[in-house]
Amino acid sequence: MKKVLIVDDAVFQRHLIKEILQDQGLEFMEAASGEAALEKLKNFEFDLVLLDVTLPGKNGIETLTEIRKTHPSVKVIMVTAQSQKSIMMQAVKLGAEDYLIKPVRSDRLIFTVRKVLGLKEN
Amino acid sequence: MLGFSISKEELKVFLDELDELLQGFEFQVLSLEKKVTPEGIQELFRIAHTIKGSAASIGQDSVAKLTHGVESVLDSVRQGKLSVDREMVDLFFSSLDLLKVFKQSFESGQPVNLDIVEIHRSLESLVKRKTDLSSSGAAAASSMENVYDILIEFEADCELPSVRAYQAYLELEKRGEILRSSPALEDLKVGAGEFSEFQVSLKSNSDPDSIREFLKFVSELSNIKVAKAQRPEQKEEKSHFGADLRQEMKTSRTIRVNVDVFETLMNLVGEIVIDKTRLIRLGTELTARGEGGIYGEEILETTQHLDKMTGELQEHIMKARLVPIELIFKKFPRMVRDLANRSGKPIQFEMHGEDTQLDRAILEEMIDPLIHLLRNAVDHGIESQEIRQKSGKPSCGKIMLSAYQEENHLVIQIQDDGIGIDVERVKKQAVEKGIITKERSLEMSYLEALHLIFYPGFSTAEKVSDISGRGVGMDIVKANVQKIGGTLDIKTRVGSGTTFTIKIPLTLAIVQALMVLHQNTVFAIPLGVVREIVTVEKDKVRTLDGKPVFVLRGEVLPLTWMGEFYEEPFPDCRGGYNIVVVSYGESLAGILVDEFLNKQEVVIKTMGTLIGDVSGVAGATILGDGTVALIFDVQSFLNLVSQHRHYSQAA
Repeated sequence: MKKVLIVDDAVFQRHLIKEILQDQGLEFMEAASGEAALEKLKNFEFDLVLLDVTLPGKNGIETLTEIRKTHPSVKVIMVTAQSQKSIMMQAVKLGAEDYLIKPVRSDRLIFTVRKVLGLKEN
Repeated sequence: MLGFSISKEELKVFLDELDELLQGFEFQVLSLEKKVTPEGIQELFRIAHTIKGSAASIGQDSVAKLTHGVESVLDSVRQGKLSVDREMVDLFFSSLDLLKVFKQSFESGQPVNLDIVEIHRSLESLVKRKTDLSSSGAAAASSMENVYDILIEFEADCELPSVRAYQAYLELEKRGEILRSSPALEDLKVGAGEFSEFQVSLKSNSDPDSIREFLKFVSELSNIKVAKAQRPEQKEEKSHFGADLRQEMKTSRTIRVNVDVFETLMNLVGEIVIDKTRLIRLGTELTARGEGGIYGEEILETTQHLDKMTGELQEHIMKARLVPIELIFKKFPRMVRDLANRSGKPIQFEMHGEDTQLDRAILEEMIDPLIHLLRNAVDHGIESQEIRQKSGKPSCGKIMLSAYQEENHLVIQIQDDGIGIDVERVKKQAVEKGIITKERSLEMSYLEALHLIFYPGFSTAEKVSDISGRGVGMDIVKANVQKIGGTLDIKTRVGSGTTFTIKIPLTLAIVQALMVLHQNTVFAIPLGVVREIVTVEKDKVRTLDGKPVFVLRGEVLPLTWMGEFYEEPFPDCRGGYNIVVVSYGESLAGILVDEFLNKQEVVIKTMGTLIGDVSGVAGATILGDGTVALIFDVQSFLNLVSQHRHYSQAA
């Protein structure tokens, strides 16, 4: 079972993402900040990180930079607000696999996650 | 062609070009140290070759000879006869230093004859030492390679086509050689506006189907066409001459323009914008009064079109003024390397976002602050090797410099994994140095105390070193950043490092401003510092220590009014007070105004030499009706007020 780490400071957002992805046969863990995410990455093996850009403390870009250094093989999908979307070029340059712009459409979220994880189209 | 007598103009062009070439040379040698790539070698060769050519044409034989030596070494590397090693890199660095000496002497008008005998001999002996290497550098070209024209279309609701195109570019780059693309890579990286399709010409030995398959990894693409190029490049010449020439053709799409030209253009556009605004006003008024007749409508229509066009013109000129931050970033790896060597601390230096673009004028203001912050990171930030090992850290320190764009701002970060800043020690030292009183130090917030390091004459280093100087500088860093309307933040943790974050506007020529009315005069307050505008009731404004304050959501904030400095009495008001809440250092403050007008984009004009710099005023702008409005410099205005009030700002 592929393991996904959802990083967002809003409980509601994490909840929403889990709900949309619930039938995809994935296992989830959550983190409310970049620091917490890095800590989780230290202790567990993940296949994918869904990473919000606006986070308390280390922001998404900083967290991404860090993840790329410590866990080069884990895939990262950035999740960003409309107003922050101009940072996505930077995120891609830093090695994010893909990105989603809020409000996230559920079909797009499922499609992108499956694609990045290399799961067959269902 | 011109031999020895060259004109001043030509000399300037030569020196400008040389400067750029030497920077490129430095950058390439530094990257060579990390990783050897055929492209890197080729680029270095091209640079050496160009310098050689220019130098020879103005009769600088020693320079020509030196660069020829470098060229020969590189040629051997290119042919796989020689491999890059420490000795070679050091020789390149020494050559670079000599070339710099030459450039400086030439600029000062007294060209010296370089003593290149020794280095030239070393270079030559390097070439002679032709080791029998398997030619790893020479990539074996497959005979199966085809050239494909690839056309990529985006989904209709694709939000950031430039990022998707960039991803596609990266994907394709892994599968072959990209000959060209439209939009070009440089334009994509800066977020080239709107486009509906992306064209790439790719040389690859993959077949069309698998190329389409690779592109499936990129989201939001709707249609991908892959076709064999009509005219395959059959005559793929192996000669370096061809490659050189192609490289030159690629670069020749740019021209060199003096920055002053843009200043002039920008000023002219500013004038047009003013006239345009007047025309719009005229048209509106005529129509409203019904005096425009059959022309009224037409005047309005024309001015609206003019409005759109001037807007676009303005934007394009602004964009043309932007330069990649790389121009200054590329000097830093060498600098940090030297500083690290001198201080005896092993330091790993990383840079990100070198291609981020910003206004040239701002770039110039950023040079000193960045140099200073980097020096500080090396000198005070990173601990000595012994201390690091004792505290269980990797013995090699790490400094990271990154830049990225966020909305209308540019963010530059300098991050180190060093000792961090001990706020208690900062306070103690500030008291010892008489910057603050002991009592004050006790009631200071964490952030306030941290920002003490920006006070003139403050330094936390107990030892004065020859790297970071004597504690002068941090105040200059902050002053420079504020001068261009930026902000500076620190995040630090004792034992694990410090991050400085500089946030600056992308351009200085135009600013978004809140227009306000005070005593029937219009003022512009740059939106960057405006947190919110509020109208508070009379009883929410009180006095504290005899100075006005107001209460905002339970927080007491100092309140000033535009005339305070000129001893105008505190204005009285019927209804409520209109207050612009601005950020001041780490806290907020209120400025009282008569009326809020609107949000407007204003073209900043300097006050001219006659008036010069006025504290509290950032410049002026001309409004649609031809009147002049002063643009407020909030930081310096509040500094003035707080000096005037003789008490340190209590938040």
